[in-house]
Amino acid sequence: MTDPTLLILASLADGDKHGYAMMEDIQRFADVRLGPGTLYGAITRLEERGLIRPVPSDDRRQPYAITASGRTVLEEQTANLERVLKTAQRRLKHA
Amino acid sequence: MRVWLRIAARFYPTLWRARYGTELEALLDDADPAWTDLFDILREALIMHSRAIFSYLKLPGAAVLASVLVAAAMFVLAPKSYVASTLIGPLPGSHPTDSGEVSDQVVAAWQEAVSRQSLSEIIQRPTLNLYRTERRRKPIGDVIEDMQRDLHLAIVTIKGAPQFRVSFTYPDPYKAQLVVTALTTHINDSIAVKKSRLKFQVTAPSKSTRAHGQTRSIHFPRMGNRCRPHRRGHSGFTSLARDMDAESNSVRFCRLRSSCLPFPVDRQ
Repeated sequence: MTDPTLLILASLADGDKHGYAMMEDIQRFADVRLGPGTLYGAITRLEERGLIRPVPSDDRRQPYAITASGRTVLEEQTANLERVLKTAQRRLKHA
Repeated sequence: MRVWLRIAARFYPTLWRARYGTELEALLDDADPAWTDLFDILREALIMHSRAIFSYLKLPGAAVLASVLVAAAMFVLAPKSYVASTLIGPLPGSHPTDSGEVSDQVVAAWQEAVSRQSLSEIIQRPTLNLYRTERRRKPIGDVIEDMQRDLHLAIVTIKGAPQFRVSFTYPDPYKAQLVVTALTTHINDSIAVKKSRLKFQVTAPSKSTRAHGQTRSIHFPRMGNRCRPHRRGHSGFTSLARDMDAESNSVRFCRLRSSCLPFPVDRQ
């Protein structure tokens, strides 16, 4: 659950955000603090794969938005995680 | 602390900084700095450098890989060719003072040996049956031209005496050697017919032949005791010259006669 790319996609799923806003949001919902290097490394990879895109802005703080393929990837990843979580919970109950 | 983080951010590749540098600095201004961020930035800068190097090398690397694969495929699929060669030169003790005289005689005999009539006979000789596939597709005149391209006469000097290297390249190593033998027979006979005062000798055809730059040892039947085969592993003229330089007294020559030859020669 600490994959920076997944956390960024999850953060952008409810709206456009710039780097610092993403960092704050991720810390809030996942209790994970992404370092500036890690955050921008993940942003670089996500933009290269076309999963996020920069939103035009005059500010130094560049906002990003999730793309349609980014949303699809996020849905697939969360579905996988959900399956893993359900399996783990079921097994814990029977243990 | 922010100063250190800004310095660390300069370690990113130039292209990356041109794209993300401003917004990273904005983030560094907004976020509460931590010492771990310094290592985080340095580590990511290193990763970005390695990615840049990899992407830079990707295209030339792919080109090199493709070239190697094409070369390997060509090496495997291309028909193998073998070179048979032998030397003709004046007998020891009959070295002429005028080396031009030797050259003239050998070259004249060579031209007779590789004439259209002579090569036509060699090509269609039943024991050789050369260029069978080509002869089905092309007239004999074109096949003769092909053969002339595969035949070579080179003049070299060994121990101060002119020697003539006759070589023939062909897919079948045995037939290549037979052709060299036939040609040297022809040359020797032509010179003998002219009753030249010079006496010529012919070394045994090389035991090994080369294919695509590789040396391939070919087993040939035992030769008569007048002709000593070259040492195993040596091939072609280079090794022969080396043998001659190293042990000139032990390298024997023979006049071209059937008992010296590794293969029977059809004499017309």
